[in-house]
Amino acid sequence: MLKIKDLHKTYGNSKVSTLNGLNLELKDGEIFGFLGSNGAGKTTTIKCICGILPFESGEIFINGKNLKEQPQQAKRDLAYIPDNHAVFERLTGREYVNHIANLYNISLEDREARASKYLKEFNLEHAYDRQIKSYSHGMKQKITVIAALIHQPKLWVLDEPLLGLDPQSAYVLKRAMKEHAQKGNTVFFSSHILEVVETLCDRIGILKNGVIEHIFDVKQIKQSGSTLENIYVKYVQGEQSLDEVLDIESKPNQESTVSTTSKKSKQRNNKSKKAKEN
Amino acid sequence: MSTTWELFRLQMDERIDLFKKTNPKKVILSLLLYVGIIAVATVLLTLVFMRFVTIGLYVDSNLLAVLLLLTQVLSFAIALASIFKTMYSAKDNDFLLSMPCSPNQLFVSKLMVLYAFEVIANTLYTLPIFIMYAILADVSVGFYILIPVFLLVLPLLALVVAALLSVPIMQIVNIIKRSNLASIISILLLVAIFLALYMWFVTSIATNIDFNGQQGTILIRVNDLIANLSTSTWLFKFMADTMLILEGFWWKLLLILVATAVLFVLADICMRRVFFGLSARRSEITTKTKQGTKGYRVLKPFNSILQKEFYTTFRNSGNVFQYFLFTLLMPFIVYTYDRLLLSITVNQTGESMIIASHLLVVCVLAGLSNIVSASAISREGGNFYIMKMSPVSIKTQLRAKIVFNVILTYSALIVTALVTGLATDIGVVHNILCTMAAMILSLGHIIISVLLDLRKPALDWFDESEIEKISKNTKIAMCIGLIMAVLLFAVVFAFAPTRHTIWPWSITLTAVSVFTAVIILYFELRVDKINERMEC
Repeated sequence: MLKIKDLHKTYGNSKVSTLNGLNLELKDGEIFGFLGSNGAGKTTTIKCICGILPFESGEIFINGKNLKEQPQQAKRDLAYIPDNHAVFERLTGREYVNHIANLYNISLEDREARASKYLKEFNLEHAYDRQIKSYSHGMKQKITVIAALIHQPKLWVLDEPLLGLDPQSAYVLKRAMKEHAQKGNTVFFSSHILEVVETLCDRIGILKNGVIEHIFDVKQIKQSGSTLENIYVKYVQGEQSLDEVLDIESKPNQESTVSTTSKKSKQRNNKSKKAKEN
Repeated sequence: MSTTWELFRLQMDERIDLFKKTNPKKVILSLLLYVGIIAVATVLLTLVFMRFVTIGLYVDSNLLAVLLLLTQVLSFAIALASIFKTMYSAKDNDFLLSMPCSPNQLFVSKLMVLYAFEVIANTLYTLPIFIMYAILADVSVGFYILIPVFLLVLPLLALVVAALLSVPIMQIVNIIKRSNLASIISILLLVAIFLALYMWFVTSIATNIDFNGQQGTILIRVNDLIANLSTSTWLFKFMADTMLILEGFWWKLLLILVATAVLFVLADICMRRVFFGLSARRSEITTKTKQGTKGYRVLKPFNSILQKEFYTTFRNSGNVFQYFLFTLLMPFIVYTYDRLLLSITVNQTGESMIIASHLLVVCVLAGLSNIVSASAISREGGNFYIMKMSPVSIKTQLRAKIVFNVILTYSALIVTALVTGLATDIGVVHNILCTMAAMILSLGHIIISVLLDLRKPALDWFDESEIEKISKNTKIAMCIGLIMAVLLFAVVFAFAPTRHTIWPWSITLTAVSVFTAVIILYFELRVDKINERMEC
């Protein structure tokens, strides 16, 4: 669904590159979590994928279409939710969704059916014909999500989507992401809320020094018996590679700063140790 | 007191470099620039008035009174605008109140800020007038003693009057603000009243004073006018007399100071009682939100963007004033200009000058009306990502924005042409050709303005009024419009021997058509590249 090859990006006259040959390939129907420290280049990567930022070299394919060579065709399969919850505040919710649907040439029947479905799910029907400036923070995020999904994008990119959302809104958004992936579409999102990333994603990528240093399956974390938070913090703070961190996590007797290793994982690790000894 | 002073410094630091110890160079430069402007204004004023005096203008207390009146009208307008900006609509009210200070300390610090800026502004235009007057008239020592006193007292008077008036105005604004339509109607009403007064003033000058007559006759009428005005504004006549007549000088001075102090205390009491309540209510009031029940409407992307431009721009009453003031005023200004100034030029330079002058003013106003395009991209703000990632080409999106501006400017130009045709002696052919030239030129100017903004948009703003502060594009677009208008004026003026039509208009229309064609070509060829390179 999404393929990034050797992506390089440097801002303006800066001597430091933000992205240094980033490679990534996402499968259909998966939810991919994108992690990295502040300033690691997550938003830059996302903006490059969405065609918002130019990049010096490399290639981005969305559903097989080259973003540089066929930008409009590629963007047709894409939707993006920014981290700033920006919307046209002077429009009503309906006008905003209608405008976005117009940009994607969505038929009247499709836009009506999709909008009413999501409006019901997001419980936003009562405010739909009100100007967006009267919406709360969460309502603005919901209307952005409805507008983003109005053209049923094959690739849905979200930058810090849960930022400032109330629990109810966060729950609805997470459900929407899951449902979207279940239909065979791909969801790619960045977040600093590691519990959410762990429960929601199939795979996780960690961005460091302008490249994705590690991509691992969430199942690996579950197998290690630790949590993503423990693993990530150890990885970011220490000099060890992720494989080493995961390895440390799987050794129960080794001195570790991680204190929340579950009994179940300890048992599983003991078993694997015995198996190795045998 | 130290808290109030700190609050005062904090607010001043936000606006000027005067208190910034870290950068003394900036402070010195700012001061030099300020003194330089005063010096230049003094020289220019003295030269202009010297000329008037040699042809018969009286330099007496009446003239000083009228000049004081004019400066104080300006100071009052500045004070009123500052009170709304610094007091009622200040964004830092909440932040400052959260600091360890009492509301009274905050209020006093804000008054100090207002007064400081009023003194700075007032000195800029009042001091050159005092110096000019001292050079041209035989003034006593009292005049020089009173210059610094008046430079400190006059801003206080303007501030006091503005503060007293701001309270009822704010009450009315808070009521009007509840409805967007009421806000727009009020703004238009205010503009209409201002224009009616302006047109009455201009027409009465044009009818009462014969500009084509002898200069001596004109000056006699002007001297009479000054004397009448001075007598009817007794306060300023009293001030002028105090400055010029030594008899009873100290008593008069004391009276002015006591009256100012009493008025200041009165204004302070009135405003202090209502300020926090009014400003808090202002932030609570939200304009009644638009309630639409329309269904969905399938539009082509171009039409949808055009519709969105209209909705997002005109649903904000502030935008009407900020961007479309000159579009709205164009027919009126052109009319008054034609009535007043064309009568002066008729006997001196012939018809060619009249047409060129008319074209100049129409093109300048069209240029000012086009500045909305210089923020076409910036106004997207946080929504700019939609432009970049939607599957609609940047050309289509920008064309919609260009058409939006074209609709507004062309409408204003057509109305202006109709008013000109009905109310002035400019011939039909000249009128049509002038409008055509302005339309073609405007298209080129609009495209340039949009491209300017695409190169460097100001997307990081809190509310739309900040766009112009952050972005220089509007100012650059204004300058370009002005230069283009002056160039056209020069073309028509230079190539038009009196009463010819075909020759000057052929050159003008060819020049504007070539210019706009080149801009369109540049747009078509380069816009994708500019868009690709843009980092946001």
